[in-house]
Amino acid sequence: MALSSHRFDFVSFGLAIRFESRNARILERAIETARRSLLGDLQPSNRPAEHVFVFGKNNEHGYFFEHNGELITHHEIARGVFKYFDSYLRVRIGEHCPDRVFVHAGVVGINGRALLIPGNSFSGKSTLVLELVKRGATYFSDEFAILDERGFVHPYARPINMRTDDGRYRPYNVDVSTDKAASSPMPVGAVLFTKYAENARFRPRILTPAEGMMTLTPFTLPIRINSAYSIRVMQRVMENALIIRSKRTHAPRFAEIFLQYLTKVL
Amino acid sequence: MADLQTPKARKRGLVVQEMPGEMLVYDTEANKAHCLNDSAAFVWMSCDGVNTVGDIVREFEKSSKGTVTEDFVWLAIDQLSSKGLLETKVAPRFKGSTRREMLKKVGIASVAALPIIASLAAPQSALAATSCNCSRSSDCPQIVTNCSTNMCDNAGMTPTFTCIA
Repeated sequence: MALSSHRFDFVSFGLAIRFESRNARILERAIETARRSLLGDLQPSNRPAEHVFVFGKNNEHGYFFEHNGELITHHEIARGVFKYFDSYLRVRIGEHCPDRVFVHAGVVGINGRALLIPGNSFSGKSTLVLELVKRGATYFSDEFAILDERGFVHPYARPINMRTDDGRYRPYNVDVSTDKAASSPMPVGAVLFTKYAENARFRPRILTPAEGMMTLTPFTLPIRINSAYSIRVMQRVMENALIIRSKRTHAPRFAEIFLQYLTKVL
Repeated sequence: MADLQTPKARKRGLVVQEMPGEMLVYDTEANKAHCLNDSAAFVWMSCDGVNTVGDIVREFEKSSKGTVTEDFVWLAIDQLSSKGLLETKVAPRFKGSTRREMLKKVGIASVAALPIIASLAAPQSALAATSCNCSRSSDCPQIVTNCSTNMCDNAGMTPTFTCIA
């Protein structure tokens, strides 16, 4: 790749990152995407970059981006590349972040304690998070639980992404001005592992901390890269939380039942 | 594979977190998390390459965890071996037995919680568990590394890209 003439060096979630492009407009779009993706946590920096992203357009690939010298994706239109870059960047930061553990989970706050709902994309966690927020829970995230060494979860309040029946995304903006979105970290009070099943009844099974850690492993982004730290943080979370597993029915009904249950047991 | 009478617990490439009455072991080579109950954890910790199965039975009973047989310890060793938690694989003792038969045989003769190891694998890449957020098939990139095609299948679209595992 030819030397890029435009650069932007910054730090986000403790990682030094560089964006490069020969095209100022493409670089601007990358920065704008990253600002949205990382909720504005981009601090300009002179630290040597650990992750270098190169963006460009050429006859062979159309629009493309590379990460540390490897072609990641290309597309004939810019939107195709930047949509993927948006997800890619968050996941890579989640995997490499030195002092936080990113877990795929929806998160809400209930009476000063956070509830984690681990799940992959398309598992219905956004729908459930939205229903809990509608019933008074504080919104933290519909995508990642960002955990620190104390076992506290930090807000990552992007607009809730709801998928419609035709597979399109419809962002649902939780109104931060009405105190629905969290602004400070909270200790984790409960972790809910749940799967949708038609007509399922809520039958909670309480897991032990080690069972909870094992079940959380597939959702823990840095588990392969920083295993020891991830496990230390997971343990801190699990030893202080109520860990529940249950199937669930439709989100609105389940949210009601589950909130009643949590109020009793927490 | 050997029929070792003095099994040795693997230490290399493992992150171990002990907790009251259980243990989590993360295998950084196989990228698997194992949850050992108290009995399985005790047997694993006793596998020092010197202790025989008979020694482990005696140590188990000395620790006031209950009365057990050699089959009980072998049940733990079989699981530890198949999960890659021993230095050397051990020929399975309960080969050919159904789980029900095996548990019945060991359970009747023991007065302790049966050794149980549950395991889960970490995904190849965190990207496989995330969404490319395609809202139209035209939004799907042409090359997506380390992700699965069903991301777009799940969104009700025909994937237009090639995935590289």
